[in-house]
Amino acid sequence: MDRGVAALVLLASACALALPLFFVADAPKPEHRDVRATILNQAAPSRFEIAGNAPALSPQCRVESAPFDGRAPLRTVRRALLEKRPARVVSFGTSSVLSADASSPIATYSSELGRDLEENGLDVEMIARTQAGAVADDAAERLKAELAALRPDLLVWQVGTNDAVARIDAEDFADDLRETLTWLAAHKIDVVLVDPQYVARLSDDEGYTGIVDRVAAVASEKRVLRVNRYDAMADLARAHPSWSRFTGDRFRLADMGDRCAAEYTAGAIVAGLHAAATAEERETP
Amino acid sequence: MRAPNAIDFWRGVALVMIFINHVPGMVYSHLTLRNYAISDAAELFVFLAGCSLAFVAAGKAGARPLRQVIARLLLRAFEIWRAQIVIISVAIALLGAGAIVFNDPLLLGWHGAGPAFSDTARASIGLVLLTYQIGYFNILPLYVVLLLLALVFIVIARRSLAAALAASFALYAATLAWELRLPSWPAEDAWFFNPLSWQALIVLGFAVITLQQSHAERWQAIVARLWPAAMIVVALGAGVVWMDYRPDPMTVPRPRFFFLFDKQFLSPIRIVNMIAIAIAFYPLFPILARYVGPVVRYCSSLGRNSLAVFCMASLLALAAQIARYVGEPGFLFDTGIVLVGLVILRVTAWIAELQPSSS
Repeated sequence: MDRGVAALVLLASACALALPLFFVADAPKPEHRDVRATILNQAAPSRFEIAGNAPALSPQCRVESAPFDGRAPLRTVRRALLEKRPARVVSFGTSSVLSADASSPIATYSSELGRDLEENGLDVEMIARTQAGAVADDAAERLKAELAALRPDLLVWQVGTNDAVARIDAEDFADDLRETLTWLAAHKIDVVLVDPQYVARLSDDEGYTGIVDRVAAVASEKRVLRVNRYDAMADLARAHPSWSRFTGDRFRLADMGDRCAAEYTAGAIVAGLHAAATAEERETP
Repeated sequence: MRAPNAIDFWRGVALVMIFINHVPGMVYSHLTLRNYAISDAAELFVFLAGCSLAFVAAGKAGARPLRQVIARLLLRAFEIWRAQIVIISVAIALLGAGAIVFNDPLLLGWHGAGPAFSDTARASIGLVLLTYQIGYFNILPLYVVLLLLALVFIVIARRSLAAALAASFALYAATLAWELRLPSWPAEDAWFFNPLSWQALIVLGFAVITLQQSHAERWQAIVARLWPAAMIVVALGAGVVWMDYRPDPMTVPRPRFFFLFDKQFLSPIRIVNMIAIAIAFYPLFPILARYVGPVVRYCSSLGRNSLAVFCMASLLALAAQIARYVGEPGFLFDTGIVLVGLVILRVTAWIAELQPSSS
């Protein structure tokens, strides 16, 4: 009887293994859809045309530094919009991205970004994921596993903070970042990098600024859009010195950094869509 | 106080490695298991916890009444839950204190701690329910659920160990096939360690010791016969790690977690690697006990008091992370962290053993 029960349970587990093969359909990867010719011949939907203009920044987020760098085309996001489906955007980073729920008492980066994109006429599905505690190799593996499950069109990646805090060697960090960006490109996932936050205490810290510099260097090398959060926050800190102090249970500079980073990211995404449209126009015979 | 034994010794070794691994970036991280094997100290710790469960349950022979076993496991689960609440409260306080003292906002968002400060009402509920976990403080919630799940399998094992193993495997297979997860809240995520799959390792540990107790001679013969194969598997695992090879989650066949090296879902390769390590290193304890007695006694003391030592190790590791972050980390700094940490862990074990009934 014992063997019978064990056999029955094993049979049940084999069925559990087999079921996904019959009933769980893979989410079609954007690159597998043979609609490119159709897309190029279609007129862009009106909501996308609205997004072709650069979004205006709110007054408190206007700084001297450029809000983002790079002219990388976001082809996969453009394709999603032309297919008239919401672009799936995964926001990955520290705990400030944990909730895309705007009802959270302090609006998070993800919820702000989703709102900014929708205000610019983009139909998006925002998903927030965190890499709490993970650095270097572990962070890269976790990211890949999450993206393989979610199959996003765009990854907005707050990169470098955990590694800088853990004092990871800047060159090792750059190598891991480079490898991950290569992987993302191979799997046709668009990416926007958001560099680490500015912290007054660490403005002269070579370990921290080294990571910030490597993010910029690798983004430039791999031709990836990068939100210039560090420099923008440094400008904000100079303009509002009191924001760097801990008052009322918060750091106003950090909150504004997340808020403004969402606006800058939305601007970068719009610019990337514009670049993708321009690139496709050039490629069309 | 029980004499040093293999389970306590290796558990102590795992605790030391967990302490070191919980301070990322230290040069001593290169000495831990994760750099030489696909699995790491977390798998070792859970497997050994399963081994210990066999002694608690006293196996199929039913030497201990089932009601007593259930009560003991429930009490243990409550102790671990209580320990989690204490250490995570201290951890959040440490981060808050660090943020204020050093005027540094990054400490408020450290390892997923952000909601504890920005969404306190929901985060406090999540902390109590174990649905809100911060980085490096997500192992004890796993243990709470593992003990509750292990209860079920121990009850089944009273009738049939084979049925218990089959049920555990069925849950494991279903979890990987259907990508079942325990959700986090208020964060929109999932538990870092998935108890639904990790239960397979604790049940395996339980089964191993149960079989060893009931078929001692045959057990020794099987282990001896498997030893060469285990060494090959361990060597292959080391080779894979050395080459830094990882399967691409986008291109592996589905169900993909069967083919990855995933820690969250405890992919099969990690279990195989852990079992191979257990078999390969099985003959080592008597040799170590003879030639490095002080080391064996030290690690065994940590392993005998694993809960208290783990809690202290977690808090020490966080303090060390903050110290490295605000200080000038280097080889001497890291050496100081490790030495001070090892001393404090030993003192913690000593204090725990002063109690009338130590864990």
